[in-house]
Amino acid sequence: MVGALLAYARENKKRFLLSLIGVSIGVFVLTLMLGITNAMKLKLEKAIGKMGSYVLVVLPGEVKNLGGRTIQLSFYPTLTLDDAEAIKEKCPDVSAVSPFKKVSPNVHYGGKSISASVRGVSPDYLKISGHSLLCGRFLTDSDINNISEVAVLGYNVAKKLYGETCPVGKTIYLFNAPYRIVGVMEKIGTDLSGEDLDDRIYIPITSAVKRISNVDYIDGIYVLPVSPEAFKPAKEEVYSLLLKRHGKKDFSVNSYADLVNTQKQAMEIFTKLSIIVAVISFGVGALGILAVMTLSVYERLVEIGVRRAFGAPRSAIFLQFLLESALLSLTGASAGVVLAVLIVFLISYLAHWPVYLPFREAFLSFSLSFLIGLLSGIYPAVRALSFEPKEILREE
Amino acid sequence: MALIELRNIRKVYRQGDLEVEVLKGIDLTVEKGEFISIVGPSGSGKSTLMYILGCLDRPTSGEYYLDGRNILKLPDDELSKLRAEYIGFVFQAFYLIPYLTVLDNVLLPVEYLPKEERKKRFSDKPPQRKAVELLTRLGLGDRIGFKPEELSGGQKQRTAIARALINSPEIILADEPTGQLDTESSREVMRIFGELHSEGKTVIVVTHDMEIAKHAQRIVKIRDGRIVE
Ligand SMILES: Nc1ncnc2c1ncn2[C@@H]1O[C@H](COP(=O)(O)OP(=O)(O)O)[C@@H](O)[C@H]1O
Ligand SMILES: [Mg+2]
Repeated sequence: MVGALLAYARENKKRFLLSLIGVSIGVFVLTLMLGITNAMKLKLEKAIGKMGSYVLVVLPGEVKNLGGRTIQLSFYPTLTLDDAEAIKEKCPDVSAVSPFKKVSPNVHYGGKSISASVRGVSPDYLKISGHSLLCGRFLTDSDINNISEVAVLGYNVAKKLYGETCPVGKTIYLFNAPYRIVGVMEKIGTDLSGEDLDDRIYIPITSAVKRISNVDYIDGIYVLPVSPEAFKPAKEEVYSLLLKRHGKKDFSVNSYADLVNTQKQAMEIFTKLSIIVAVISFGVGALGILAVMTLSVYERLVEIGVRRAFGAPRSAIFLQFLLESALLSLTGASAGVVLAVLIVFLISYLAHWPVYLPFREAFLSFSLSFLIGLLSGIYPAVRALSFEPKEILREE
Repeated sequence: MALIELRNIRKVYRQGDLEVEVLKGIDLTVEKGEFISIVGPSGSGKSTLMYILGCLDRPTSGEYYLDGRNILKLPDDELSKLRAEYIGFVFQAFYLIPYLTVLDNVLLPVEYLPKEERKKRFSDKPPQRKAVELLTRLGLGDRIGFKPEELSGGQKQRTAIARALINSPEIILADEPTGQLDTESSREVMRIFGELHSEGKTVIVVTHDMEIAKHAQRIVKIRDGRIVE
C-alpha cells in the first residue's frame, strides 16, 4: 500500500522534500524546545534539591530581574560578618547561616600554580548546601574563631593534585601562606550558573575576609530556615533585622528558588516563542502535505481507478491516501527529530547539565506529526474518492 | 444457472434534460469457461456493457446474476469484493501504473482479495512467486524489474494480462485489448486469451474489430445498444 507512494515520491523527489520541510521544522523546534526545557528543569531540580528549595540568600545592594537574569543593580559594601552573626542569634526561624565571600589568591601546590575558585564560608555551609564530604572534615567553629589556615578541597581539585588518595594533612599555598587540608568534598557537579562546584576550595570565612582580602565586607549570606514552612517568617525576620541594623534597604533577601525562577521566566519566553514557531511550521507543513497529496491524487488517477477495478473498496482508497499523508508527515518529522535530539544532547553535554535524551519529546512530536499528517490527508483522500473507476478508466 | 446472466439490461445516461439510452435491453448468458467476444461499432455501448459486467457500474434497470448472485441488490463494498474474486480486467490503454515495476504492477490486486480467498488461492505458492511465474509464462521473465515505460505495447498488455490473472479470477474481461497494438502483438494477445480459455477461464473480449472477435468461440454482435445476433 505504501510502496506505491514511495515509488511515486521517488519520481517527484523535489516536490515531496519541499512539502516535508514545514513538518521537519515544526518537529525540530518542538522537540528542541521541549527537550531543552526539560533538560533544564532536570538540572534545576537537581540544583535546587541540593541547596534546599527554601534557602534564603541575602545579597548587598539592589537586585533586579532583567530579561530573566538576576542583575545586581548596585553594590554596597555593607554586608558584614556581624550581620551574619546577628541573623544567627536573633532570628528564631533560622537554623543555619553561612556568610560567603569569593577571593582570588594564587593557589600553589608543590611549586605549581593551579586554578581553583576559593570561597570563604562558615561550618553551616555544609548543612545549607546539603553536600557531604568524601573524606576528612568540614570547617569548624574553632577554624572560624581562630581564623585558621585550613582548607576543604573540591573533588576535582583533590583528584588533580592527589589522585585517589585522601590528602588530609597535606598543605596547599594561598598567596604563599600554607593552608592545611582538612577534608575533601564529594563530587557535586555544576551549579545553575554553570560553575563547577568541584573546582572550589573552601576556607574559613574569617580567613577569607581578614587574611586574604583586605576589605571586611562579604559577598552575601546563605540562610536556612528551620523548616520549609518557616521560609516566610524567616525571610521577614532577616529583612527587618538587617533594615534595623543598616538603617536603610541596601540589601535584598532572595529565595534561592527565586534566583532559579528568573531562569524559568527566560525559559517561559523561549517556550512561548518556540510554540508559535512550531505551530506556524506545522501549519505550513500541513498545507504542504495537503497540496502535494492533492496533486498526487490527480496524477495517480489511473492507480486509483485500477485499484478500484481490482476490488479496492472506497474505504481502502480513502485509508491509503490518509496513511500516505501521515507517513509523509512522519518522514518529515524524523529528520527534525533526529536533529533536535542530537542538539539537545549536545547542549546538555556542553552546558554540563545532566545528559538528557529527549525521547519522550521526540515521541510526542512524532505523534503530533502523525495526527497532522492524518488531518492534512483527509482532503486528498476525499478527492481520491470523488472519481469513479468507470470514469477514470474510460477510453474514447 | 450460468456464470453470467443479463436480463433486459438498460442503461440511461442523463445529461441535463437530455436522456440517452445507451443499452436498450440486453439479454446475455455466458457459461463458465466460455470464450466470447462482444463486437460492434464504436459508440454501440460495448464499454458500457463491459463496466456493468465487471460490476464497475450499475444498469438503470434489468437483472444481472453473477454466479447466481443478484448483483443489483448488493452494496458497493460487496461489488468491490466480487470484482476482486471474480474479475480480471484488461484495458485498451493497459493502465499500468507508471511508477511501479512490472512485478509490483502485477501484484497490485493481491491485497484486495478477501483474506480467506487469498489464503486459499495462494496456498500453493505466494503471490510473489506466482507473479514471476505468470510473467515468465507470458515471455516477460526478464522484464520484472522494468518500469512500464521501458516496455513495448505488446509487453505492456501482457503485463496487464498477468495482473488480471494474479488473483486467479473466474472471468477475464477485456475491453479493446488490442486497440493499441500492432497486428502481431494483437494476435499474440488473442492467442493468450485462447490459451486461458482452454485452461478453463471464462474470457470476454469486447472489440470493434471483427478480425479480433473471430478468435473467440462465440461472437455476440451489438449495435446501438442492442444485441443483434
Ligand atoms: N458517462 C456518460 N455520459 C453520457 N454518455 C455516455 C457516458 N459514457 C458513455 N456515453 C455514451 O454512450 C455511448 C456508448 O459508449 P460506449 O459504451 O463507450 O461505446 P463503445 O465502447 O461501444 O464505443 C456513446 O455514445 C457515449 O458517448
Ligand atoms: Mg469502448
